[in-house]
Amino acid sequence: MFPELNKNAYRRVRVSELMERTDGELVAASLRGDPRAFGVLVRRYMRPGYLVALSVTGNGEDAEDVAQEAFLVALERLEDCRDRERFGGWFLTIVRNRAKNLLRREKLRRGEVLSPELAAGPGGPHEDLKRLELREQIEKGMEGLSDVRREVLLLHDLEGWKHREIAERLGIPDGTVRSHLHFARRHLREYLEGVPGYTPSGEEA
Amino acid sequence: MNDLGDRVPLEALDPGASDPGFWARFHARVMEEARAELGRRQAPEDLSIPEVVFAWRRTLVPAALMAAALAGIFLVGQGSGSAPLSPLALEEVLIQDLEVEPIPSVLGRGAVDEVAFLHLVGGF
Repeated sequence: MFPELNKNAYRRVRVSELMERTDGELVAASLRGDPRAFGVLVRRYMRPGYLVALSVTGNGEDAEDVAQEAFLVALERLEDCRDRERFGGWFLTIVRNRAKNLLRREKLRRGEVLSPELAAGPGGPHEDLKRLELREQIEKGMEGLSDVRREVLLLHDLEGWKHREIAERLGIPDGTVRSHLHFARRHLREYLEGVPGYTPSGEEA
Repeated sequence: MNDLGDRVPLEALDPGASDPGFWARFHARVMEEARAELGRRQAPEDLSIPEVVFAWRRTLVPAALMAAALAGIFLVGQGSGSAPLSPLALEEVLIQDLEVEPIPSVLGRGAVDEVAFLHLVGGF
């Protein structure tokens, strides 16, 4: 366990060392307005935040907006995070609630994806088009899952969180996480097996 | 059930997979938006003593001026009844009610009262 750090001590700590600090320590420093500590929290939870938002909205652009706003809301309400070591779960709850509010307000704009030209990456338009098609199919396949199953699936299979971490941050039992993961995988795999070009290993056919 | 081999390939859902700069831009945007709030949080702790005084200038300066003015009024009021006369005031008192021109008599007495003479001819 790292010792408690005061403000001046934090200024002497490298960012790479800050990455190893616990959530509680980073929250304490963020409460004092330390941008580097908050930056590490953002780095640590931006992908999970995005994925949780995506599991609710099903839309990448909305998920990005929701996750971004959730960080700002979390910073403004940081005093409300009573158990600082559980910042992750608290933050993901904010993300989830905001994503649900967005759905209620705007009715989800399903199926919106960037045009192949706009989304062109290093692999070129052809590869990106295939990726976008696969992405659309995965998103459609995930529509048949409950929010919590989508979250568990994304956090485990895409973000690489362990069952215990997911259970802790979502506030559900470890066994429930395993069960959700099992059914989510089975559902999505069955759906994707009917999609042309899909291979279970993730490699191109 | 726990094996990574069972996992479903979902990389297509990661915006960073097709856009390598996505997460760096995301992070930068959040930090930019958070700058004001972070600044607000660190403001009370980062101020030095002169900065704190400067921050209070709107209250401190008028209060100090008011205190100085009150102190001046108090001192003037307290000291007006017993203040010693200055030499110049004393000469004024001496010649105040004289009916005749004092200059000849002053000149006749010598240099001791020279000050009164100088006062009447126009001062120092």
